Amino acid sequence: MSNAADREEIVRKFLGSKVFDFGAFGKFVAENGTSIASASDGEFGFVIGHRFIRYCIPPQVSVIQELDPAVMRGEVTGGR
Amino acid sequence: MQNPHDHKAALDRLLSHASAPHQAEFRQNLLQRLHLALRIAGRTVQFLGTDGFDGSDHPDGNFAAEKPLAETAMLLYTAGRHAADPALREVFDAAMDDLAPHARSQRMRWDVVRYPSVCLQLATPHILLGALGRGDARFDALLAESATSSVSGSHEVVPYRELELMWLEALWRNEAPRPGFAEVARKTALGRAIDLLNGTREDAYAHTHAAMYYTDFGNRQGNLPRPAHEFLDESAAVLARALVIEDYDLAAEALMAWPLLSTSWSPAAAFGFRVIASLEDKVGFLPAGRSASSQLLRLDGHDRTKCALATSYHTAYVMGMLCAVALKPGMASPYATTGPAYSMSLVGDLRARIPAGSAHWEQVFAALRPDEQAALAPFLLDVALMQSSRKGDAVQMARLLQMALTHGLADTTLCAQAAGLLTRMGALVAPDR
Repeated sequence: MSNAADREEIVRKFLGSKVFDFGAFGKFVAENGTSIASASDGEFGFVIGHRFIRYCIPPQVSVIQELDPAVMRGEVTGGR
Repeated sequence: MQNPHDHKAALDRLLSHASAPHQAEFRQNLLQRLHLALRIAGRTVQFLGTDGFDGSDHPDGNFAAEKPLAETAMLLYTAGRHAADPALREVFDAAMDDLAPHARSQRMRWDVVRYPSVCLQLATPHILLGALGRGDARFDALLAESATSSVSGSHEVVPYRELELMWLEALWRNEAPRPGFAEVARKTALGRAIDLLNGTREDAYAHTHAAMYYTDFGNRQGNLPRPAHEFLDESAAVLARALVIEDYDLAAEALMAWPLLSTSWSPAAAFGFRVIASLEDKVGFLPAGRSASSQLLRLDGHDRTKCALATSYHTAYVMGMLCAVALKPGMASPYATTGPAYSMSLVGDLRARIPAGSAHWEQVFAALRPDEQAALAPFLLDVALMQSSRKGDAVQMARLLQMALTHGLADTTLCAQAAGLLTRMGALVAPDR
């Protein structure tokens, strides 16, 4: 992919080919379940089968709602 | 500095006059944000600069002191070009004073001598302090011993890390990067696109970091291995994904690409800046994401402060660095969402194809003026394509590509990669011949 024209051409070529069999793909998805899709919004990484390969920068932390935002703000910035 | 209410009022004024921001006003706004990051840097060095952090429930949440010290030095390095500004001078000098003894501590000297294969990384705070005019000849001599040892090059690194080492070495020696710098850059995301649909988080960081080191955090404008707009298209896709998953650390890093490459903010980038700036104003600092560590509820006193800083300082620093590079001469206000206006029916159609959620970008988008929304069709297309890809929704992906082609939006890496993925999916289900 060296320039914009090439990139658009790739799209145009795919759409123009009309070879994608949506029915067959839908059947494939139905037979293989949702494991092939990554519906989670919490991940950037990819999925191979059922396994997530995760790289955490910065680390994931558990979610809590009880913490007073002002407390957190005070701890981080030193102000209240 | 202004109090938080003044700060918010100033931001409101900026947002309400986004099409014609006052030059001095947006600069003052960015300086205030940089000031906040430098203040947090002082606390980070105070609480984490000696022992790092080892109290996390998550193994990846622990780190040695070298990490925040190196990142503090990078924040100071980017802020250095504005250090003489009266709004920053005091807090900048204080942060430098805080960092210096840790950067050249006995522990740091010992580590540099003991681990020659990573001595440049360990010496990052020393090198960057030196570049800011606070050198130390004795530490330099120790570093030279390690850097020329027989095993100094024995630690293998990926290309963008190699770029980082070459950048550090050039700063340390006060020379231009050695030959091969551009060749290494070609092997990074600067030379070839990461997989925007199914790449890893590490890939995304490789994309954002390569531009930082290659440009010396915006100080150097060397030739890129390929047209800047291609790289920035990919930065826009990383940004879109980061805003969707509310990873504000990655979002702020992705945004740095525009000022690092001295390029005008795209509408998507300006929108991204608004999202994180408004979040910073709401929370009091830019949070890494929506979550906070449950550990904080169990801790108090010194331990709680350490934990809060350990989970928050990095994103706050990235916001400060973003503001520092956005203050480069020639950069316009990042609050102005201006660009080609697409039809509102296209914008509405794209928006309708993105499942409604509670991410902060959605609230900010809804509050935009119609003319601002009209400029964000490329952003919405990126979000919609990535969302449909992650769901394995081939029909939606194909429809989006058709829309992109019809409206002249298909000349991006993301669209090409989506077409490529669909082609491979087609091969996957094609009948045997």
